[in-house]
Amino acid sequence: MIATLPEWYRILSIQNLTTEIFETRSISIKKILKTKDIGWFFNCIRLFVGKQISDQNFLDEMTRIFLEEDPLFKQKDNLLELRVLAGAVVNEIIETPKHKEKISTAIALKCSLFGINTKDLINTEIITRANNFLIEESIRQREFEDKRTPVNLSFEPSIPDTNPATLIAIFTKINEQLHKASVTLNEKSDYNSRRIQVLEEESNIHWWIFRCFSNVLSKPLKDIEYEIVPLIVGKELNHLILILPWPLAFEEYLKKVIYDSFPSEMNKEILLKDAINALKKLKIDLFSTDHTSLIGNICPLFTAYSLSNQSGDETGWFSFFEKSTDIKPTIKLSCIELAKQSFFESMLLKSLN
Amino acid sequence: MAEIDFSKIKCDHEGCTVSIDGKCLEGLELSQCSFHHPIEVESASNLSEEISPSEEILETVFSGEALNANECRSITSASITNVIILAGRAESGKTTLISSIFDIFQKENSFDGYIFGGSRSLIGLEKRCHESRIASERGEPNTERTKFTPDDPKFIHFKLQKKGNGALKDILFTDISGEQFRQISNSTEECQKFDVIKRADHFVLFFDSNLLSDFTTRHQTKTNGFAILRSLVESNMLNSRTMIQIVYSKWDLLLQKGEMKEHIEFINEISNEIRLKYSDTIWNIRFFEIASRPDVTSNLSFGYGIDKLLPIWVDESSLFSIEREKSNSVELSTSSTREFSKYRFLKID
Repeated sequence: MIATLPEWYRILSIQNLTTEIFETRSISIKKILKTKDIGWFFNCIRLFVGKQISDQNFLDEMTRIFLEEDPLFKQKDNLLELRVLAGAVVNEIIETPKHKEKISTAIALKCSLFGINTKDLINTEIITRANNFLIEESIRQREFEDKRTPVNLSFEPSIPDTNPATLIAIFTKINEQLHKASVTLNEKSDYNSRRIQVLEEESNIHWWIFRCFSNVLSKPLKDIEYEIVPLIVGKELNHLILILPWPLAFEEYLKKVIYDSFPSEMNKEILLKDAINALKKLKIDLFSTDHTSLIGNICPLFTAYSLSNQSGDETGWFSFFEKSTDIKPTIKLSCIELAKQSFFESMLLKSLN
Repeated sequence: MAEIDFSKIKCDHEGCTVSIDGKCLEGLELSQCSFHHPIEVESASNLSEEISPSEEILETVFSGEALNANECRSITSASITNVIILAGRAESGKTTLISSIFDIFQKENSFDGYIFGGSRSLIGLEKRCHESRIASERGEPNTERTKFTPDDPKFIHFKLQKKGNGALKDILFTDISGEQFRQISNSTEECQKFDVIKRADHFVLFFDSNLLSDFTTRHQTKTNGFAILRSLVESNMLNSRTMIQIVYSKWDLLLQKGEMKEHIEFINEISNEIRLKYSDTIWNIRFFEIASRPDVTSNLSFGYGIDKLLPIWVDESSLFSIEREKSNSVELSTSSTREFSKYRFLKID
């Protein structure tokens, strides 16, 4: 049984539910993890945070899965219960060792929180766990034990005689030693590759911060319109990340690079619509992806950018954007909030690729 | 001549348009053609036979009476619901408060920024209000004493809509008898059976101001109220995040008494004592005076004081504050040793 499920169910029930109910729920959740794909998990995220789900069959399908294990599972007026269970599914993905969609799911959850009123969230512990997973995984991927130890192999100093039995024994031992050498050298190669990758990533980020230059637009950041800079720097930092998830201090790098280019304007708020419309005028493909239908309103910046490109004017995309994301295009954001969201959405696209 | 509905006539003759325009293909009158017959209406029993068991949707049908815990699940499973426990000795005004809220919404279009959006326990509400109405043929308004049903707590449901943003919110009041609270105040074991408190967003403890303003009963009344609180805190049924409102009910009766100043001082002492005793264990205690159904001679309006309580009950939730505290306190098991990860941006002013 999923140990935290009773706690998450508190919001649903006046009285304590039986252990049997939680066991059936847990069985269904584990079945979902084994049989469903990333698109289904993204719908669980949408349901959990309260975003619209375009797949009209999703709720019925989810109800059916739980009904299989518990015939008394509520089939109507069950939206809050499905939200709780969706959150439990998301949490279980993140907590399952080696689940292939762990990182994408955790990043998608972070992306989906943009513009959400935190008062509307339930069981926020799940979000904290996802954040903690990303932090711990980032550290794990970038920390190294010192493995600069020599490869220890042993060989006979000389061949005592040419007796076939002796030769067989010697060659068998040589075989073993070569195998051991191969394994050790491969480990060291992986270790060194990973170390180089981390150092390369750090070096590139260092120089990017130092240069304050946009690789996407090929000009200094200070020469770019302020409203667009957060979107650009979020994307460019993403380009420099070689290992998922991102380094711990990513937000500090964004702050540093924005401050160095716009020291007096850094506290100025930006309207989302202004940022998107300004970006559209540049005609650059900042958020291109093959996964448009998959990410949808989980990535609101991506959605806004796509809709604005399809729209003929600066306001034509507003109503559809608000309808699909529940976010007003006139929402005011700090430049760092915008930069972070641009970064997260770019990282999600990277993880899916 | 009455018009005939041709759509209810079917002809087995292919190509006949009698069901559309009433004209028989053979040129016969409707009653003469043997191929014509009325379309059978499928009986309900036939329909039910066509639904396979797996397609049946089990649905809770509410009687309208006060809800039991199982019926409440239909509400709490659908949307975020605030649960309010009304606690206090018998006749301290718990049920009158609920009835008064209902009465107010019946008389006014809105109250305190909220519109009445319905209730699954309308009959239960009406029953509780009945004795306060002229239709009951009583000389004075009254509230029937809540029946003692220890194993089957009942809930009264309100759905309120906030004016302006239109957000709907469900709230459930417990309607628990004073006798049950007497048992709780005497026994930790009885306390721990009271599961619903752990789910409560708000715990409202009533002190009867009329008894507190009577020198012969005030100390016992104070002791009874403190006993409930102590019992629940000691059995860990109330925790540091539970939102508690201490309500001094029947405030109109206190105001009509002589030595009013002395009575109010006594009540202030109670409030201070509660604050002192429980400030370490409970972090959110607030105090209110109410007169749910003030005496006609009183200057207080109907439902006095409820306007301060209702927004708290609808908009605040201890369950969510518990969640947020927990979510902020989950500790990380590792920290980075890389200097690059320790960088912190410091803005130079």
